[in-house]
Formats: sequence, structure tokens, C-alpha cells
Amino acid sequence: MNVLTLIFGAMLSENLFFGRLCGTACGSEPVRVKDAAQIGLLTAVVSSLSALILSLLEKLVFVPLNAEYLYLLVFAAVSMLLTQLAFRVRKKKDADALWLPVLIGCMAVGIAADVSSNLLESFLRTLCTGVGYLAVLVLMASVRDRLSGSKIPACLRGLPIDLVAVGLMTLAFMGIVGLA
Amino acid sequence: MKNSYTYGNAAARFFVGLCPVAAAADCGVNGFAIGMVMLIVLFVGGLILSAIKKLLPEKARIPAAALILCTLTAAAQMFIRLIQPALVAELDVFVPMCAVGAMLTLLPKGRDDSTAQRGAKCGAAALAALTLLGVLRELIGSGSVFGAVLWENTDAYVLIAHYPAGAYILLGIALGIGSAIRNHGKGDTK
Repeated sequence: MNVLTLIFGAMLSENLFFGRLCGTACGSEPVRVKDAAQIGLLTAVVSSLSALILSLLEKLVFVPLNAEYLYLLVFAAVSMLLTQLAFRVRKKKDADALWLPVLIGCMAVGIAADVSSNLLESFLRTLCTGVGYLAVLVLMASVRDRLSGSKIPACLRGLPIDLVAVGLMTLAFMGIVGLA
Repeated sequence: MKNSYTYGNAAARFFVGLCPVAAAADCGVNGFAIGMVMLIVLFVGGLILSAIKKLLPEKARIPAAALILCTLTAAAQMFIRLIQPALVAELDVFVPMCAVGAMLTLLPKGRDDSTAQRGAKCGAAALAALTLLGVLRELIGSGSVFGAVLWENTDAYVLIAHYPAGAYILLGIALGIGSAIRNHGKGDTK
């Protein structure tokens, strides 16, 4: 498979976060763009490393034993371990606040990226899906920043206007589906 | 990251949990199916988590919860594949996403109710909300309900309702209408 097609496809045109799972960004905690960027970056790194391990396991364990149903469970376990490791390496005080959003992000990226037994393809696809998730989080945080200073009807403040914004964002990105 | 609506408000937390799977409910049948998966995962997950809560140290609760919810989602996916394989292709990536939705709903600490109560309430509400969303999208997108065509005026169909974008916009508008009705008597003038 053409590497550039894979990269741009996973990041843009076939990115499930832009096209269908944009709403997952509503589940992320950050209000600030900086926090969103940190969560997205950690998610991309941890999920791509998890994908490497899962790809190996898929090749050596799941397929020979006909146990593909274990994928989600093992991905969750591997993501948790790598998330803990990443926060220990990072050594900053905001670990408690960021841990759950990063874990949830890793789960979402792992499910969206669809890891296969091809190591390089899985790693690249998951990394690029993670970068797409980072972009969605940063965009959502920026939109929230803008909306926080705007005059919005009381009934639409908070989650309702965020959902409408996510819907419009999804609509916009549907325009680039099929580009790669 | 203070002042986040997901942790402060139980209702908002519930709708945030629906976000990963809302796009799956593009018709009544799919909405009901994904709602059933959410109900099973949330209800059974809530019961198990509530039962083992005191056996686990504080720091092990979130990892254990994530593993339990993922196991339940995988089991639900296998069950759907057994009884209705065509539905698995329709729902595609959204069945595993129920694990993410359930984590968003159950894992943040609730202030007033136990995990089992929250799981039961949210599961039932998820089934109702997703079925209603699917029916609404099918109705305004193609004039039918659960496959039964109610009116055939293709000019009147709102095609955006078929797309994931329509799901989020409709959900946002529905939440806004609900908020307006709830606040109407309280005289919220902000």
C-alpha cells in the first residue's frame, strides 16, 4: 500500500474522527487549547505504541488461536499500561486530570484505526488516526474558546452548542472524504 | 481543567457518553440496536463495578472498570454477530465505541448515586434516547419509521439527518429545547 495514501487517508479523508466519530471529542475534558493539544499528543503516541504491540499479538496469538474477540480487551489493558508509563516518564503534576481523557482517547483511536497484523501499516494508521484525533480536540477546544465569549441563548449554552458545533465540523470535513 | 461540564452535571455526563455512538442511530432499527448494546454494557457494567468496588483499591478502580466494560462490549458484539450478522456490518465501528461511551458515563465519580444506579438509569435512558434519535432521523430524513414509509415527498426530506452531522446537530437542538423547557418556569434570563 502506498505510504502517503495511508498517511493522508488515515489523517484526513478516511479519518473516522472527522467523518463519523467527531462527537467523541465532546467527551474530552479540556477547555483550554493547550490541554487539548497535550491530551491529543499523548493519545497519538500511546495509541500508536499500543497498536505496534497489538499488531504483534494479532500475528502471533490472536489469529493462530482464532481469538480476535480479545482485541478490545487486550488493547484496553495495553493502553492503560502504556498511559501509566507515559505519565511516569513525563513527570508533571497534571497526571491525575489528564489520565482518564488520554485513556479514553487511546481506546477511541484504537477502535477507529483497526489494527491488522501488518506492523508498519498498523503503526502508521494508528499514529495518523491519533494525529487526526489531536486535530479534532484542538479544533473543538478552539471552538469552545470562541463560543465562551459569544452571546449564546441560555438554553444552548454548554453541551448543546458544542454538539451543534461538532455537527457543523463533521459536515465540513465530509467534504474531504475520498480525497486520498 | 476545572469548570468542566462533564464532571459537574450528571445529565450532561450522560449525553457526553452518548456522543461516540450517536451517529450510529441513523434509523429506528439501528438506534434501537445500539441502544440495547449501551443498555447491556451500562446496566451489567454498573452492577459488576458496584459489586467489586470495595474489593479494589482506589487506584485500581478505573483500570478494572475499563477492562470490564470492554469485555462486556466484546461479548455484546459477539452476541449481535450470532443473532443478526447483517446488523454488525450496519453498526460497524460503533459497537466497540459503546465501551468508550460507557467509560465516559460511568467512570467519572458521581456525587449522588452509586455506579449500579447510574448504570441502570443511564442504560435505560440511552436505549430511549438512541431509539428516539434514530426514529427522528429516519422520519425527517426519509419519511419512514422502522422501515414503514409514512409519507413520500422527497422534496420535504432533510437529507442531513442521514449523516453523522445531522445526529449531533439534532441532539444539540433537542438538548437546547429540553433546557429551555426546564428553565422556562425558573425564569432564567441570563
